[in-house]
Amino acid sequence: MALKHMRTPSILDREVKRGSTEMLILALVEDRPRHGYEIAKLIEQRSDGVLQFHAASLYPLLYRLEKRGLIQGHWVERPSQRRRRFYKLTKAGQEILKEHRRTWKEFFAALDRVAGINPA
Amino acid sequence: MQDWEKEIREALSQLPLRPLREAEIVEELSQHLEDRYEDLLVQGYAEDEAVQKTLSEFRQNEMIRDLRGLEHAFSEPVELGQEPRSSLTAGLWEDFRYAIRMLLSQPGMTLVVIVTMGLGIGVNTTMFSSLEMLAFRPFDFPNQERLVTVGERQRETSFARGSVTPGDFADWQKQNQTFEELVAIKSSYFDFSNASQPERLSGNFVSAGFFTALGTHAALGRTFTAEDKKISTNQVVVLSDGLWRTRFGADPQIVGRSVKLNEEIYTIVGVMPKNFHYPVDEGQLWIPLSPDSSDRSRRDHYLRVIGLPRRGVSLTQAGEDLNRIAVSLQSEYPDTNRGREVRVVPLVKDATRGVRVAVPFMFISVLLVLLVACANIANILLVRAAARQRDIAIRLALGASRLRVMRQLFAHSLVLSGFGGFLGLLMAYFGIKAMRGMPQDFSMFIPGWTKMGIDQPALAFTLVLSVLTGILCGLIPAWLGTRVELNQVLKNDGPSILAGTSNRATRWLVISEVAFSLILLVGAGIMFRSFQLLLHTDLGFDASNVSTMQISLSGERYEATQARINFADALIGRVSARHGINNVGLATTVPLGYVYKRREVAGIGSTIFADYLRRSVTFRTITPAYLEAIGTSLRQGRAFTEYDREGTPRVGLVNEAFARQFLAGKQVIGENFFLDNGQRYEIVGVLANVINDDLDERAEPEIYVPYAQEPSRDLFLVTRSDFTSDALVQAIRGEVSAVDPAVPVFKVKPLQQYVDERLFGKRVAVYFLAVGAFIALLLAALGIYSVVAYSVTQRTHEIGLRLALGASTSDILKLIVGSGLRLVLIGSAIGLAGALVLTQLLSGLLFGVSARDPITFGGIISMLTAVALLACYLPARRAMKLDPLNALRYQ
Repeated sequence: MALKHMRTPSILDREVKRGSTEMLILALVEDRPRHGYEIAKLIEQRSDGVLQFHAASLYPLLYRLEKRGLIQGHWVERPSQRRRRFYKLTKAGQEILKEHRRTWKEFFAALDRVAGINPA
Repeated sequence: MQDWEKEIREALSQLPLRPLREAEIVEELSQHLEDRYEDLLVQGYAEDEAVQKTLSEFRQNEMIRDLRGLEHAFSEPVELGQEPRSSLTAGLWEDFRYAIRMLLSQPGMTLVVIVTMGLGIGVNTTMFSSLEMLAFRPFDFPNQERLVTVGERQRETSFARGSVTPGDFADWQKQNQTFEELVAIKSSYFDFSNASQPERLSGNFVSAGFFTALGTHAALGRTFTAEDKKISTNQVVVLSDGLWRTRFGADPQIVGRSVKLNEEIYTIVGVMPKNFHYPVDEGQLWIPLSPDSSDRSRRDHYLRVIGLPRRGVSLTQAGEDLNRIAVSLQSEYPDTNRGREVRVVPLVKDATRGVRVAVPFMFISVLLVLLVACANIANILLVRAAARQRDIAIRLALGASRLRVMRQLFAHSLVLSGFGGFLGLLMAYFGIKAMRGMPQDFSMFIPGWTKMGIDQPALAFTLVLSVLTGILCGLIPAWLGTRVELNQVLKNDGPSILAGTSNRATRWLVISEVAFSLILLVGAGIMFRSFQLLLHTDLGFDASNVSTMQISLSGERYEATQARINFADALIGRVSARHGINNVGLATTVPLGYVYKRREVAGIGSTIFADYLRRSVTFRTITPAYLEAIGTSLRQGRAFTEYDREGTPRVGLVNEAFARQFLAGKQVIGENFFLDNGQRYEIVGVLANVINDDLDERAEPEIYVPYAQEPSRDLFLVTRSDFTSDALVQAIRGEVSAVDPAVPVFKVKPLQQYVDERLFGKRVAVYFLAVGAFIALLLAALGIYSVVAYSVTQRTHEIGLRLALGASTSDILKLIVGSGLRLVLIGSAIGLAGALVLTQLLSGLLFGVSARDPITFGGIISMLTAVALLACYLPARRAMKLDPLNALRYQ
């Protein structure tokens, strides 16, 4: 488990952040392919503005996920529109997403047991 | 309007991105910023504010930091002098140029490979383009694929008749519900008397809708209209292009002119296009068939029927529809139609059935030649790749990807196969041209023969085949040639050697060559044996020094049978008086002469057959000396004499097949038979069987009657002489004119030519196979030789050691030849299994020899082994002569 080996808080902070954002993106392209701006907006909307993603952090993350083979981007052309790059979840991405969900569930369960924080 | 792209590009300029990647990122990010900006406008921001906010959110430093570790820098392995490009096609042109330079530097090897490929591809293209026409698109008219031929079949005797009675045809035409057009054709001869010399033309009566059914139009004028059939006073004719050119000087004003055919005046209404030949290639004119309404005979089968089913109607549906009519005719006319069924077959399939039998076998054969060629070339390229191993290793070490190097090796084989394909195309072009120039009459019974040529599908086929050949030949060398252990190869200063895997590959290539060539050799061997037997088969006649010509006694002068008898007597008298002539006979047909006459046997002895049980047999009227002239022997009884004339009792001769079929175990001589004309004939003799149609057919029952008792108008003059010469043939022709200058003489040719024409197809097939098998054998021998020779070079050191330790030269011979022979034996075993499968495909084509003929199999294996031994012996001899001291020094 990723959180077993605890290092300094700042590293943990970054890891948790990265891990969570990764999961957010994977979860958003799970049911259908989406383009970058749509992903950013959905994160903002669904988190009621708590989580915000700007281009500067979103795209490097998307490219990293693509490089790792978890998502796959492809250009889609629609009549009378500029072409857009859509990202869809790959098989490997599905596996990782499942793994993420399990880990976070366990993490929240542990938090709940220790500190009485119920995510639901 | 804000230029987002500029902002992003500036930010990205800090990163050494590849141009394509950079463009992608710029495009994607600028779109994001644009979307964000527009959203902000919608939320009520002023334009300036929106731009500011968007830009402030775009924290470029953060992004650059994140991207730096992520995106590939400009670090792709670059080849000197080349522009870096990311696509797989980059540098392709250079690869080809390099391949061409390499090939030019070794012209000898390049030539060998290109010729080998040319042979392999050439035989395939030739086969493809000829069979494509002969087996699948033999005709030139648009509807060939939709048309069907309709024939009748007698259930009891399971006798299939090609032709149809006019009565049945009329009912089919009236009652069918599935055909757009159903048309009848009656081939006939026409005396044409416009020219100075009387001439005989072959033509066809065709029923209305004939040209519509075929989907073809006249090149000049028109074809027939519904009106033509009705107006009997003004008869019309459509000419073939050939007739129009040869007899009418290609006169463009020909339409509307009249022409005299069979002493009747016809108006020319049209000329057909150049390549239109149907139903037979020699047909020169078409006249509307207006079936005499009184002729509703259901006994005489003389119409050829073809039909164009309506769109969407299947073959089965069309057959069921006509059979429904046939069933009602069976009960309506039980005397004639009992058990008579209808058979519907696709026109192309029917016309090409003779060729189609050979298609799978021929294609497999040429493919085998190509495979042997490929194996050989792969071997050569593999050795070449091994020689370049160091070169390849260095390129790989410098960062070239394996794929990239493989592509270069492929470029090598593709360039070779490109040239090979071009050479193959040339070979096919000239090969087909030579085939088309063969005896003209041959094309008569193989539709599509004159159409053969390199067309678009053949070009496409050659192109695809060339590329495939290139890939196939290059696959193993490219794969193994780039599988190098960098350290090992680079450390070794001396000449690089083939890795163990390449050696194995080489051996397997040789084994496959042996196997493929064995299959091919066995196939060719069996075909050759079958052809040999066919050549020496007893045809029942002797064609040497026999000349034939056709004569037609048309017109009113020969209306009376006595006039015909007088003509025959006078002609025979005159010709036999000539010097050098041994026998002169007249007959209505000659064996293999493309003219067939049949009659129905209505009864034998005291048995009279019911109509539907009548069997049709081959029928020939002859003058007494015909039998000697053609060389058919009499087995029992007597031949005809001058006394068998009109007024004397009717007599007949039968052949052995007739006696066996109709009078098995009975006394034949003195027995009677009845023909469909109601006449009774007494059998006075039994003749040997003769082959009338296909050389490999079984003898069919046949009847001969004296010409003097049944004189007909159409005759063959058959003369046997001591020698044959053009002068003699001209002299004989002159005698016909001397008896009657108005009688047309045509189709003057030696009897042997008819035989040769029939053998021609098989001869071409056998020659073709023999050439293919020879090429394969040669290539296999070359393959064995090169592998053994190479192994001798590789083992020089070892051989030297053995010799120094006291091995005798015969030990070395055994060692080297043994290693080669082992490959041959494995290859032969595999080839044998393949050959057994292939020869099964052949069985339909064989004559007098089994598909598993042990003599052929044994002979071919011995021959292959002998050739292989020789191929092994040559390098082995070199090994034997090695000086041990020199050999030991060899690295």
